[in-house]
Amino acid sequence: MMPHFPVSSGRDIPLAAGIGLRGPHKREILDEKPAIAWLEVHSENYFGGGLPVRMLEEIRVDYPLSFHGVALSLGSCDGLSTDHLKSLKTIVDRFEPGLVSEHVSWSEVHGTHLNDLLPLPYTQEALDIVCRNIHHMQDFLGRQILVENPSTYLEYKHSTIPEADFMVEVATRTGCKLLLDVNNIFVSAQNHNLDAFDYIRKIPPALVGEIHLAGHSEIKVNSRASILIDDHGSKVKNDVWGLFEFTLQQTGRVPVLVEWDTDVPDLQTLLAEATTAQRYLDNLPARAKEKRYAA
Amino acid sequence: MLRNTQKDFKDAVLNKDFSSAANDIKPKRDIDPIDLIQIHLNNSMKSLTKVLRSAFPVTEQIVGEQFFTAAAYKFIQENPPQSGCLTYFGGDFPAFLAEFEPAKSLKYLPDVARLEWAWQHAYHAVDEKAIDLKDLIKVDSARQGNIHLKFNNSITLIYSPYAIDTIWERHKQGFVDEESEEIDVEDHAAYMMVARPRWEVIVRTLDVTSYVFLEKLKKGGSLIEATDAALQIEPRFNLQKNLATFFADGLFTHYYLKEE
Repeated sequence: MMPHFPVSSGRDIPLAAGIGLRGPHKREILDEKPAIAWLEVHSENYFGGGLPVRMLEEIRVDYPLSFHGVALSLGSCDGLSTDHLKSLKTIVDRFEPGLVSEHVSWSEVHGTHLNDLLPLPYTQEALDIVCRNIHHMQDFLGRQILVENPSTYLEYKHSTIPEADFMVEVATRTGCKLLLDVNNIFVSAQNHNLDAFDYIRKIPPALVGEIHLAGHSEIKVNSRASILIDDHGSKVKNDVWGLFEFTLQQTGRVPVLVEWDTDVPDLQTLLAEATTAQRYLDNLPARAKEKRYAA
Repeated sequence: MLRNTQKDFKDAVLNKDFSSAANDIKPKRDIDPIDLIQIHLNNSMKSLTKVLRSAFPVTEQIVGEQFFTAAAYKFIQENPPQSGCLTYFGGDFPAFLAEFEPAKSLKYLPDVARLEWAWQHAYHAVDEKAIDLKDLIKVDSARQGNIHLKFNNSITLIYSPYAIDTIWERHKQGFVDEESEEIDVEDHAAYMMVARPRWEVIVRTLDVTSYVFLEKLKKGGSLIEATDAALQIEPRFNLQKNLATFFADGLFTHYYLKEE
């Protein structure tokens, strides 16, 4: 039987739009305490001691926190790093974040960390490995996690499972929730000539625990072709807002997060993006708002 | 098998050996699979270089951006991180620079890099509580010379035959260009301590006796052994004053007496 984990041990994340906490904004957030529904941090930035951890202690007094991991490498065939899990558990126990998430991708092989969220081939073997690692992570932390769909620039010849099906199967088998990154779905669908709306239709609403939004850019690979890159370096694109609206109609109200990691703008610009996302949440018809609880 | 796919990818990213990895990629119209793998290669190299850049800003100022990037790429290829916690990535960079042929003429560079790494290490070190000088009074005065002290984990002691303290300080204040007053790198040797016993990182140039005293203690010597080592260099070494300073800094986390 699948173990039942508590969803959250600390302050719950509201069904509202928050932002990713970035270094340049910390001081302003601490000093001015602007209205922000919730904050998400990259877990690995708090594995040490000193000022980063102390500032986060102060921040958590006023804001619900979510821990988003970027380096555990759930897709590693070597299994998960015990040191990494221990460090993560230490801060999860200390800060009691409302959500803990990671990616369906890989970064490590044979003890080498490549520091990128690399795509997996979608095969039965990879599915087994990812599920085994998620089980391990949830058992180690003693709680449910969420996993995010990657943005991909390439596909493997030997993939046999559509990504959406792969994600659903992962959540169904392990009892984790999905962190649906709508921008990633858009980027991958464009890059591989797939239907992003179709992807979203395949996801059972009850599995979705969070949505991510971010900006992307287009790079020319050669004179004839270009690729969309998920660089989190600009405003959310109009097409992605459209896909987001469609997603919300399926899922109902869920926590939404706007990420911005390169060319980080001033806090007001980022908060304006969160306000836009919030407007979409607020404009949901009453029935869609309730959908989540009915599911 | 997934293991092979991942190993092939690693060879592509770190060694630019694309042949096997490219074979795994589904063909795309108008795009060479190698160009797609190259996107990930760039992500890896650029993000890891950024990690090094933020840990070694003065080193980069000294050699310039282009030189630094080239050194970083070679370092990453030869010493890729072994953990996803990148605050610990870069500790081997100073030793790499010492062997990096194009940097050989800058003899002081590896020591400047060591100083920067010490800062980085101290900044992220695990927090520990300091003991008070008063705690030592509990020890019977006849046995006080036998006291050993455990150092806060953030502390690094650095000796360099070059004036790395001046170099570091001047670069930290802003970019040093042709119009700046020239730094005589051989002006003096530097005996330095980097620590973060509380919230701020302390970077301090010590006199040689204090350095020798601390170094002996840190290597597990007793108070009496450390004092003797300092006295050999400077007969007027002031134990009380040194202890008062270092305890006030909060450098020590435990004391213990070894069996006599």
